[in-house]
Amino acid sequence: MRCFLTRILPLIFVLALNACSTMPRPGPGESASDAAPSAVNRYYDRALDEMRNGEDTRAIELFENFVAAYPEYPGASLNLAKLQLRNDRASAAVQVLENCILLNPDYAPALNQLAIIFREAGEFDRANTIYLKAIQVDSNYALAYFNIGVLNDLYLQQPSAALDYYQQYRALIGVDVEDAEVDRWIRDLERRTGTARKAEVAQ
Amino acid sequence: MARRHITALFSGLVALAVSGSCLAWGSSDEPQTLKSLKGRKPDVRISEPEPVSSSQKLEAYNEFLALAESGDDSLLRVEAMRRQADLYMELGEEASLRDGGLLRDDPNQLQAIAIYNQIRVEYPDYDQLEFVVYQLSKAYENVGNQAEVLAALNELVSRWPQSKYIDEAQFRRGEILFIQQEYAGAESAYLAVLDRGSSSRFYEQSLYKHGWSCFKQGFYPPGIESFLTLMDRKLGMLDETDVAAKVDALSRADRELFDDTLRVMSLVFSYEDGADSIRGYVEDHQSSSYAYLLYQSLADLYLEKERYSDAAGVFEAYAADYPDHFEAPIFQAEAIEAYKSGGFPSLVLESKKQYVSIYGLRAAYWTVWLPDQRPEVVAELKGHLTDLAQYDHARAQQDNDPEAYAAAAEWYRKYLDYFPNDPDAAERSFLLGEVLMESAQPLEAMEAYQAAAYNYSGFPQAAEAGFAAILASRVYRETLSGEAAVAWDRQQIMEDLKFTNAYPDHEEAFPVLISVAEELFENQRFTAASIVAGELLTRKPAADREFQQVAWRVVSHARFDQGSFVYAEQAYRELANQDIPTAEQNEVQERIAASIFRQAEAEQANGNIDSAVANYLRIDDSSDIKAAAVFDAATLLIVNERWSDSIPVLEQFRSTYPDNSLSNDVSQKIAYSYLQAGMLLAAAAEFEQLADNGDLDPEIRRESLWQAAELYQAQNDLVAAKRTYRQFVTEFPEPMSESLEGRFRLSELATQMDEPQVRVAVLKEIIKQDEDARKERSERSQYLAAKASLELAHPYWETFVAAKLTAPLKKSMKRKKARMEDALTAYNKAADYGVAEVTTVATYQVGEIYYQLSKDLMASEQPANLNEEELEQYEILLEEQAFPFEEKAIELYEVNVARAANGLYDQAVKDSYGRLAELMPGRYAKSERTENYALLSD
Repeated sequence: MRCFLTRILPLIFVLALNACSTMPRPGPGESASDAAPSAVNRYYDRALDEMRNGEDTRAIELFENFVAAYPEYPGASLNLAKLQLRNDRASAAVQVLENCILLNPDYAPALNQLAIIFREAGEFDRANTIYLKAIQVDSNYALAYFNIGVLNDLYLQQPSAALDYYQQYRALIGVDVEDAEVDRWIRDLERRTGTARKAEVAQ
Repeated sequence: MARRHITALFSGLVALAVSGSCLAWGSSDEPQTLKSLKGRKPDVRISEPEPVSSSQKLEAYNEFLALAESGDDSLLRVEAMRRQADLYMELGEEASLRDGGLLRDDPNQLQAIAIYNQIRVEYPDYDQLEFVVYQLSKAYENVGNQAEVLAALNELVSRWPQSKYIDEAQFRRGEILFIQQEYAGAESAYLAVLDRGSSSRFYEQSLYKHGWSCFKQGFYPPGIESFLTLMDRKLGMLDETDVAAKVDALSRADRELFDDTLRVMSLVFSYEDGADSIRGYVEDHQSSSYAYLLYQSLADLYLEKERYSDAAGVFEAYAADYPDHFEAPIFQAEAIEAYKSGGFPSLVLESKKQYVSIYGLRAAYWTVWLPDQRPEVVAELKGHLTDLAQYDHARAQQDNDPEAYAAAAEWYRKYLDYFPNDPDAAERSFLLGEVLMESAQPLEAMEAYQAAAYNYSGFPQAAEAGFAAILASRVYRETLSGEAAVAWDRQQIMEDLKFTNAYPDHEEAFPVLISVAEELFENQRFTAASIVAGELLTRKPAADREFQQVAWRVVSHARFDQGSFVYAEQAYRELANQDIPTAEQNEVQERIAASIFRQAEAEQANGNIDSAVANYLRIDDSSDIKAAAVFDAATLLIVNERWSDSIPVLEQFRSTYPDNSLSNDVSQKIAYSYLQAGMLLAAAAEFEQLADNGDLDPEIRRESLWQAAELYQAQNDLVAAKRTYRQFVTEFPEPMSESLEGRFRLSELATQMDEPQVRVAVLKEIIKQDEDARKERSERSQYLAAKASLELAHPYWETFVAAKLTAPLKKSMKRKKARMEDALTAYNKAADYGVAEVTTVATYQVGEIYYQLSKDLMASEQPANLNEEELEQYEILLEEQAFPFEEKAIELYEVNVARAANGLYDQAVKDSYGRLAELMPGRYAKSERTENYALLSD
């Protein structure tokens, strides 16, 4: 970490000047989060605000600076990827996410986002694999179950698998949380798969 | 010359007499005759000389005898008388010496004679009577009374044969008798002396005179024996050279006597058996050192008598008998002279051969003598060798006689063997070469000529010999074949060069040099040929123009053939400057061009592009290969991607050689260069021109046209692109795949040029072409046809959509359905190609048609005049009519999305998902979920 900082400090300095803002530095023996609401947090929040406000160009710039300085914070990468996606820069988003996963292999949201991108590109098997990876690294990450369910439901057209994933998702988020849509899908799939099973049995 | 030697010989003989002071030819300047014995005193003194004078003694004896007259002491008296007589003799002799008077008239002598005779009469028993008679003979001799002398001596030898004066007495007797020509008496007297032995001081003189005495009497053998015995004593122990010196040192008078002696001996020999006689006489004598004098003398005698053959025989006999003798060669030479004098040329010749045989430098003679000791012999030998060689050489030339040639060669060889360092050796070697050459021995002749040319200095004909060697070598070469001939040629070249280097001024030097150069060239020894010819060109004074031309020809061709093209060019230019025939001039100019061409190739091989190009281009325009050179220059530039450089070169070629066979290739290169240089429109124009060139291969034309079209299209010259693509598909329908591609490009162009009708037409062409291809249909053709069909279906879709369902619905529905059928047919046709990309679209579009019809039905113009209930019923009826179409649409959309599971997820499939999400949201309206954003703490 220290070495990395030393290495990128000049870049940060330049980027900071270009951004007309000063990248905050954590003090000795403290991390960025430790310093919260430190200057780092403020910087991140500022970027996030820009993102929320639809100032995508500014937000991208800030998150790029942040990711360069603090790649160990995967949320910044995720945000940066989302910004790029909605600006039709899917390739850049993939690059950001893959870098993020490389440094933070257990960060399931990044895997989830990456799988979505591949699904949209028609690379269903690859998306499936990445969803499974997300589930593997974070078995409590419910969105991965949801999304892999959609993948199997609509695109891989494996209704049984889709049903299982929807059910796991439902179990994971808990009965206390209302999700009528998914419940409806589960029922539909149960019906369809039941029909399918009957058909199989009949055959 | 022989005369000169003989003279020297006799002058040497004079020394013979020097040591023999007692011999007749002794030390006196006067001739030694019997007179020389006069005045000699016998060593018979009975008392020591008185210290007083003779006259005082005589006076004392006179007084004594006066007194003795009165006494009778006879012994004392006779003794006194003898002494008295002796003193008279002495007194007279002293006076004669002192006053110069003659003893003949001396009274003292007469007085002494009187007294001696008185003693003989008065004292016959006197014991010194022997001495008295001896003295008496002397006294008579003093007064010149030879008869009394002889009488006294006769008495002495008869009465006292053992007298100690006997040898003198006999010798003197012999002398008197010889003078008196009583040779028999003289012979006996001399013989008596000789019988006394060689210790007598009269021995040698007696030998001499005994010899003469015998000769006078015709008794040759004993006389010769005496002469030879005397010569043994005087000359026998001397060395050969000392004999000559001794004879040479003789006084004139002694020499005459010596000569006389030799002459008389020669006469004897001539009377007898000539040289054989000499050989017989000298057999028992120590004659080896002086025998030559005998032979010489005899030969001289014969010559004098013009008996030349005999003289020569004597000379040769000596040379044969004494081959190692110092003088032997001289005698052989004298024999030759004798034969000459006698006019016997054949004998002269044979004698000369004998001379060479005996005195050749390898002969035994020279184991005894050194050539330096016998320069005259060496000179003689040289002369004879020369004569013999010339004789046989001339004879050979005249008679063409092989034997004569061989003989002449042998003489020359001997000369060279004996006198390798002789000033004339070179000439002999040359002549040997001539003989051998004339006798068809070219190899040996060559060697002889070479020796003459190169082994000696100062030989005026050396250069000629060198050239003769070359000619001989070439004659010999004609006898060879195969490897031997090749090897000989190689050697010959070296010899030729040797000649030209050694004798650069020889009139044949340049021809030989040229010949060598040409031979080297023919043997493909180009470097050597070039060097040799170059040598000729550097010679001062310069060779004739004719030779220079040949030399430049060899140099230039050799350098060319050895790949030295820079120098070849230079040499060819020199040759071109010569006055050479027009045909050759043309050839040379082409060679110059070829040399430059090869230089260019070499530069090219070495990666020196600029130099290579410069060389290619500097070739003269008139050369046949200039076009090829320009072409290669351009090609080189192209290969090295020097496009901007290659273009002007190519254009130069095309303008200069419009009809050249390479012009088509050049046009292609120009086009390619334009293309690579980024001059794309120019390139396109070139390619289009190529396509129009009927001389070109159709394949090239086809590719060129395609290239042109692509370039035009890329440069947005759409009109030209359309023109060329159209030409392409028209002229080159095959291969189908490419012409189909051309039509595809035309379809694109039609879009770019906003020519929809044209595009439609082209698309139809594509479809038809695919249909017509039958077995040649390809995935590409089907793809393009499918795409075309899909596109051609679209207007049907638009027509279908445009058809409004108006009241009355039945009528409008009929029209709509008709258009629907058209659209379905078109899309189904497109789908039938089985091209996935087209099939999904077609499927989606068919779904859209049904969905559209469903929606259009629901939105159709309602019939007028319906009440609310009727209207409700009408809408229910419409829904019932529309629903199957919607179901059909869903079915088709699901066909498409089912393809997603197999990996087909194109835009049509996505759109199908969209429609399904719209039509069946509970089933298909499902989207992934994700965080809206992540916080720092996430």
